[in-house]
Amino acid sequence: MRLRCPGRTVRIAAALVAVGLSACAVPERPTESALVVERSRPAYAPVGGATKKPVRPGQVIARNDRFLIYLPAAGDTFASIANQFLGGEDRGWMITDFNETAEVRPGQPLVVPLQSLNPTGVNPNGYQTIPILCYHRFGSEEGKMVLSPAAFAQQMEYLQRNGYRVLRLSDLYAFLGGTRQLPARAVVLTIDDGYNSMYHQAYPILKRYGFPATVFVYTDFIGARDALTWDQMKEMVASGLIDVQAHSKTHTNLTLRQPGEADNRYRERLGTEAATPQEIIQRKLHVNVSSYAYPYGDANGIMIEQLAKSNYRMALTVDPGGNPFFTPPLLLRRTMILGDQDLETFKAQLQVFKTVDLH
Amino acid sequence: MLEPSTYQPFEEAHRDKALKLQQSQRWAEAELEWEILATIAPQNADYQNQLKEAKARIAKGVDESLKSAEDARQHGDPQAAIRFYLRALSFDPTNSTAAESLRRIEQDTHRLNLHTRVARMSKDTAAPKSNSASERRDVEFAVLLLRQGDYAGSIKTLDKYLKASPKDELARRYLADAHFQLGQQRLEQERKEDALTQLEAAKGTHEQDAAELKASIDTIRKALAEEYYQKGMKVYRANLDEAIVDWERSVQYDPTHPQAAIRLQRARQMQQNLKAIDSGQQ
Repeated sequence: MRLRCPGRTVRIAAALVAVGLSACAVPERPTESALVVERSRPAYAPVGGATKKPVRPGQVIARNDRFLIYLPAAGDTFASIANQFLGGEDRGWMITDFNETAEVRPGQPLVVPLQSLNPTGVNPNGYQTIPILCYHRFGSEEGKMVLSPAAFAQQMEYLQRNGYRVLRLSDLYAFLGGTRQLPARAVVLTIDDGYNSMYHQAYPILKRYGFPATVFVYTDFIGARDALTWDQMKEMVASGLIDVQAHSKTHTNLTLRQPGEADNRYRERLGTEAATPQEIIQRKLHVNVSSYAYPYGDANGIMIEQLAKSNYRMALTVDPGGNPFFTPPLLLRRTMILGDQDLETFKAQLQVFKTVDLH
Repeated sequence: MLEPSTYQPFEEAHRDKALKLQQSQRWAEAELEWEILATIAPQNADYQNQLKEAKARIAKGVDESLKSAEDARQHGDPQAAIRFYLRALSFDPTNSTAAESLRRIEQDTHRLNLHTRVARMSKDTAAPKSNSASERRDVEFAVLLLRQGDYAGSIKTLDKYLKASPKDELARRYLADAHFQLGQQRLEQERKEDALTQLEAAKGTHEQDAAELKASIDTIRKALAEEYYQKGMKVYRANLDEAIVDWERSVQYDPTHPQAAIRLQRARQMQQNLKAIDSGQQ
């Protein structure tokens, strides 16, 4: 098929139109066929053709299968360019990060990466790590596990102002598989147990900043006086910002056996602790439950086996530190944010890069 | 083709960037920049040559790094292997051999750590009978602090909890583990006396690794005994009283230290003699 642009004609494979220009498609890696350029032309496809006419703003100057060079027009934003070429506005960061610029200037070319050029986040100075922050309760009462709403808001403000990108936990999986680059300074937020202080105090703040978070609930807790209700969880899930995942059924330390508990009964119990919250949450909230937070942060081989049987893809401990791409998905690290920590301590927890001289 | 007069700044900026990246040995990024330039100006032979050179450097760097990584693995040095696999990825971030190897090493390391930690805690330790929600939260919090490396915080929380619930054997295990971990940390910081205090606090309930713990404690005691002995040796000519204090400490840490006890006895005798002389003179 031919795509007609005023003054020029470029022959492009039909798939390019469906994949590259559709607002609905979300191509991680555009297929080779989608980017085939007429073979008689060199790898760089001058849109001006043999006449070398100037490229107009809003048009692609050149491209190959890894990137294209685009000339922005007035009104273009990173989000609109990402939507046009990368399948979604939320991928604007790929353009920002690559070009190391904070603004689109009409008439100044931008390189648009068409695939994850560094999916593992490694360079000669070290490697990217993704911190997963772990919160519990919010409020004004004393206690290290309780964070005041003011402190939480201050932390979220800090993240936004300093260019941190808060991702969904589910975004991490492809990074761990080495197939998807994540933004520099990516951070994930999680909240454990399912206290309703999350809904009353933290959720409004997350909405204000548009930050996603994952709540890990243990299903025996639901129905308690200070626990989230199903209606509250439904509301948060419907907002698109909050995901609800599993934190066991009973919140006991699953690495410990009951007195006299035989192997098969222990395995069975752990199987229940994996499968039951998954079934309940999926049924009640119509979400896919594929992440698990270990109670007490403790795991063993049998528990990991039971999670794999229930098709969990990621599981989180409370071993501190960031997660490089080679972290085992069922043993992810998390850093606890405590009520008595100040902002300086919070900043120190944001381990987004591990410096190692690899020259 | 880009109009040189309009887009020259773009081309120049990317060329400068490519050269700087090359100088910093950041070949993966340099290769991308040359690729951008070669795409903009395919007739430019210099860009094509530079791109070719960058690709060759990358191939060589990956090859050498993977070989070194394998050597390190064969020699049982996983830390060195990790570094070389990462180096391979710094040349080619999509290299699947390096990526998979790193995942395998990390998985093995995690499994070993988990096994060690869980074995230390769970053998002969039953899960507790149901505590109240508040009690469970206290213990959970202490365990979370322990996992986060805040051993002192965990100890403080568990001490307080155990005053109210002294029969909770599981909490005692966690407390012993916290003391043990803090002791290890102090050792790494070369704070031997603090380390000894912590490890001795772990001794009472840390039956799982009793022999190992005793061996660690004995080693530290002997090391401290020797340190204080040497301190005494340095000062005894100028300050006998200080030397006596040092040798007393030495003998406290290790009553079997071969020289400390003898030196201490002689020094005390000397001290007595000197006092007698002083009294006589007065």
